[in-house]
Amino acid sequence: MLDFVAEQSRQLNKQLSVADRQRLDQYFTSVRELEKRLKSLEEWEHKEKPKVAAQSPKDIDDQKEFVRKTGLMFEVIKVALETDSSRIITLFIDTTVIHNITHHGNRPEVLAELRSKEEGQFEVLGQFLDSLQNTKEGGDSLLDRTMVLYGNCMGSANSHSNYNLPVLLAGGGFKHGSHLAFDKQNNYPLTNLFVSMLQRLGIETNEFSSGRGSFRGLEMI
Amino acid sequence: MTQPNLIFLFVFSFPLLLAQVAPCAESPVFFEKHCYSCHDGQNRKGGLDLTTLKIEAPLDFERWVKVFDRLEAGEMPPKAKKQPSANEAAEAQKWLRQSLLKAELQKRKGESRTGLRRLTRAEYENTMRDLFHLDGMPLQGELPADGSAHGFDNNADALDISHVNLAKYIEAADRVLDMAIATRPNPPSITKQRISLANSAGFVAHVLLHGDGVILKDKKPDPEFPPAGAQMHIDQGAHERIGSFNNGSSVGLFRHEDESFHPYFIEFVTIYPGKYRVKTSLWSFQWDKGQVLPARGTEAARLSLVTLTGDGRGGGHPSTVLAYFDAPSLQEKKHEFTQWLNPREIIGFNAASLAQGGQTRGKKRAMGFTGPGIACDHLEIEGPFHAEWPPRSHKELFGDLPLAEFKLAEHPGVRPPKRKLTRQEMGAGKNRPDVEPGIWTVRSQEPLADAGRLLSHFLPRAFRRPVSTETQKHYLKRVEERLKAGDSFEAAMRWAYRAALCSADFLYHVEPAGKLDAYAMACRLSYFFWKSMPDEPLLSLAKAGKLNQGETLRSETDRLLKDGKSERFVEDFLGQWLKLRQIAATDPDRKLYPEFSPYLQDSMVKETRAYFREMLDKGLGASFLVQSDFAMLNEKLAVHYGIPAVSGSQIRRVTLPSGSVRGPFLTQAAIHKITANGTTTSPVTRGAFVLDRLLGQPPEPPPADVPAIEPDVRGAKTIREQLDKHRNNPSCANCHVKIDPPGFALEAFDVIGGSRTRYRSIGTGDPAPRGNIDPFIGISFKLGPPVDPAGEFFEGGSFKDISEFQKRMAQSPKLWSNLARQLAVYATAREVAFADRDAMTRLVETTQKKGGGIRTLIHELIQSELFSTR
Amino acid sequence: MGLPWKIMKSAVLAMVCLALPSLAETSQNVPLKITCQVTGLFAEDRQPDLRKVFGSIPSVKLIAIQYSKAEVTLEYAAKEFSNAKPDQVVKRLDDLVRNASRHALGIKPLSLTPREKLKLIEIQVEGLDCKGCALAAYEVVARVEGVERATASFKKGLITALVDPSKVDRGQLEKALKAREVHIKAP
Repeated sequence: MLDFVAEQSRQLNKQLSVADRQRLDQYFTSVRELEKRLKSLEEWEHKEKPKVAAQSPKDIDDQKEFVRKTGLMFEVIKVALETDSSRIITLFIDTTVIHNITHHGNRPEVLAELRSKEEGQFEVLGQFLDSLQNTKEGGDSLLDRTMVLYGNCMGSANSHSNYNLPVLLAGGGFKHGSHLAFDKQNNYPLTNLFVSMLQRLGIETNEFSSGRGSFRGLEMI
Repeated sequence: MTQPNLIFLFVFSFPLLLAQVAPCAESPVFFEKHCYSCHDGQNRKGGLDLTTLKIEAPLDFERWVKVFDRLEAGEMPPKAKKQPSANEAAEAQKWLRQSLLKAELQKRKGESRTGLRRLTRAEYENTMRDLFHLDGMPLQGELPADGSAHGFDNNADALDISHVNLAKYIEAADRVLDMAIATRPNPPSITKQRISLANSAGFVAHVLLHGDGVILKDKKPDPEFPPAGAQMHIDQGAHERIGSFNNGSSVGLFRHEDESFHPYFIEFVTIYPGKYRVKTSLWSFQWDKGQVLPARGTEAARLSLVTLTGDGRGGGHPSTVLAYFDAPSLQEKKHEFTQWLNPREIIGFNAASLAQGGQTRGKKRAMGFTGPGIACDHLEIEGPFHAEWPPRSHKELFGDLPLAEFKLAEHPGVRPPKRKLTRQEMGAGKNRPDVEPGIWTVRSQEPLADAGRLLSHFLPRAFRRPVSTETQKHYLKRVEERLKAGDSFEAAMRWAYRAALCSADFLYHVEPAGKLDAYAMACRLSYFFWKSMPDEPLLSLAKAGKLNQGETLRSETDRLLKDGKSERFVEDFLGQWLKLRQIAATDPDRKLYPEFSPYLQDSMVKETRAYFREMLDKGLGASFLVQSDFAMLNEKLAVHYGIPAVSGSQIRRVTLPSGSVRGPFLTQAAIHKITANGTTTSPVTRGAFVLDRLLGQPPEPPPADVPAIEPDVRGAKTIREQLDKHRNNPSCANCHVKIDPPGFALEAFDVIGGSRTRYRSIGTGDPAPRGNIDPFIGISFKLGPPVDPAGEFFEGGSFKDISEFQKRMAQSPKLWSNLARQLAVYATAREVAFADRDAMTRLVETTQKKGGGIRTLIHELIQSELFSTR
Repeated sequence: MGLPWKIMKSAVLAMVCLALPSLAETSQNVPLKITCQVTGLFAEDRQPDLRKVFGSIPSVKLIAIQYSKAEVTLEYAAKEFSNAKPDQVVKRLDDLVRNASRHALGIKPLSLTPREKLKLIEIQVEGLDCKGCALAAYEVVARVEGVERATASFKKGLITALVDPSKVDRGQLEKALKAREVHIKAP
């Protein structure tokens, strides 16, 4: 069906201006992309996957179990990496359930509650990294073969400031064990880190978004 | 021999010098004289270097437009600097204007102003619904979100398409065709089910055991089920089995829904999609330790549409509000409405006007409780109702072809059409499907002739314009191939229909360049007011060539605005223009704003929509955006605003007491909530909203190095005091002198739109009086520093409160020009070009001359060249 | 005495009845009688409910209720239960009654233990005078292994159980009731 619709839409293309043709081109590209994906999905379905001894995870219904739910997602991610179900995984940790306390207004009791939730987050992150380290794959640990980027889009949730972001990079590919600090007034672009990570994945590029070079102070290994 | 070199140098250096002076040839010396001292490569005041700005470059063009605007407004050069003579300024503006027009013309050479764009999510859903007459078919939720450009999602720049969209469109088309095609000779049986609020396996039955509600018979506690007191009831199951909850008695509820309590009418879980008649009977009462007494007033209950997910157990399933219903004191009010239900949907209930919190938790439970309750006698669901069978959706695809049973033996080599088993998926649902009648499908004696006929009916409707015979032949050819490959007639046609619904002809707005043809005009009208395809009458007018006549356009505009489908316009337009889509983006802090409830939030949105509707219907002018003598309120809002004598859950027009500032968008709670977070307000956010959304003068974004303000709700400092540090800095003052005044005036309203003269705080402060807050809501916030809503207008003059601010702002001509611009951008799916500014000004002038406010504005817009050309 | 004798008695009765009418009548049409135990009859005012339930089962007729013994005598047409052995009949009756009463009422075979061997236990309770609660309390007790029959009334504040003392004692019953939040009155 996909090549039929592409064909039909080429009729439409004839009557369009240059800019409009470019826009419709997105449609053709989407059709081709979808065709490719459906094909590779089919191939993927028939491909042999590594076997793991893991049980199906059971979701936690209580929305308030914020830390535990995050930990559960980390477990799922580990299994996904182990089974080669995916090699690039993004997790958005939905903090809606604690949104109110992130606007702490500097109240001490709210800060205390927020601290305990955040410490819990780090505990499960630590457990996740440990679990990756303890899983072996071809002579390395899974952690050695994975880059884990953990961070926040706000330097202060209370004020919604997007500056001075706390960022943690773990895993293989780079030399770790240090803290890289940058100018608090004139922030160094985080996007340079993305450039370095892309390069580490073997993608030849020197820029990504506003990043114009690799990340200062980060040694690739 | 050196001489030629000299000449060489000289000849080349001269143009270089000129290039340093101006962005294009023959620019007046004006810029050098009045601008470059601050706006050159060295100083770059405000980040602007006029010497290198090229008018032809698209991004620079935008900046030159801003330069033009500031010159025209007399804002630049700043008052402190030497001012140009009136003549000088006029000349410079004239030159700049012409340069801009020329550059714009060049930019758009051969291109239309409105770019080719696909349907937005809302347009896609509504078009499918109207194409197939499936009023409630859910589609939007499955599609990826659209972007936004110039404030709206229907702009070509906001509507990229990727393989993800396409995959979703294919799925959606399949779901629509599944629902549209009849698979049985007769409609599903109409069933009627009466359900008690305390229905089996439900939350309400559970909480009745310990007294969050009671069973009432003849408006007294049912002797068969005494109210929980020192003892509570044991074993929900035993009670359900012995019939304590379904003996025809009413359920009186004291508890509002919360994280662990979700009243659902779960005994009916929709199996067959379609129209159902829903009836309920509600009343309210005051409960006093076992006695049923007259209520404090009319209470409000909310019914919602809940989609059960997973195994249907538990609560918190996704839901949308259907409506609020009055429950008058001790008097049953019967409510009835028709509602489209989809499979797995149930009706949910909430005692919305009751305070949230555990009121009945004392040792004596219900027998120790005194307070309000809402009683539900029953909920009745009857349906599905089909005006005809096979339904219209099916007829759009298969016309009048008869349905017959598909017997494999009669169709050798043909695969039977696929069928999904219909069953009651949810354990709690008591309704059952009809017995499946086998495989029924359309029978065609002359498949190719029928296919041709059906395609010639469907394709033009789907593509919203005539379809060439050649294109129809292509589709027909594919149908033939599918038939040859062993598909049943239904499957072969389905293939073609699915392809049509995924083709660019369906997904995109197809408009010829230049003057729009009749079909494109019809679509512009219908997508403006209905976010959907034109209906038959509109299409006939297009076919008859009448849509180029002013009178026809006028009467059609009136007809489309009168139709109920125009609510889609109100919702979609306000959702973006006034950002109503963000109403639920923040949760007000429970301690600071304990009186906040979903009922209040839903009422806020209804108010804003109803107010816009009133402006449309009564033809009110732009001043009504910020000042009004009436408001659209229900009881909840009236109490919130302190306006007396409004009773009931329905929104109605209320004449305001003199001196009231309420009514217009500027002072509506929805706007206040959208421009605040859950804890604090910010004059900057609100000021920017007013400037941008109401006046059409969006402020520049803050410079990169400005730190954000850390709100402090311990009550020590007000936000205004914290802002002062910014405002006193001259480079900040430049923008803040415009942004802050509306923000300060609006400090009179808190994060949920309530009026305040003092800030609420958690830490230090004075005890807060209860005011209009429900007596059952615990108040722990204090009153902190006083609010200072006074300020100075940027143009001069001052105001001491929101009332004075409002009066002056109501006179601003920018309200008109911005309103016109927002409507134009929305209706034409493009930004207003520099060259179109004059047309826009004329639009506003004509409207003001003719009278008739926003209604006339819309008529004039539709009649304008802006609207009828691409 | 017990079940086999009672059944045999009914069968003899049936055969006697069969012998008398004309040869034209087949054995299928002659109603058979049976006496069995009923569960869920926790109070006197449950009797109308019981009658109503049997009223809704066309194939069975309720002849008599012996409340104090929690027994019912029923009449049924043999053809409805054709070829069913006696204990199968009881099971079928139980299914019918449960379906018609949402499992609040049921039928079980008569008790095998002689009355002299059974002990009556009375427990004083406090609770809402509510039919559903009475059913709940009754079921807590009636389900305990060794309890032959029971009654429950919060109006009277009394739960009674006729038990086989070799299988169950007061303490167990009280424990089961407490676990289900039934409030036992201090003596």
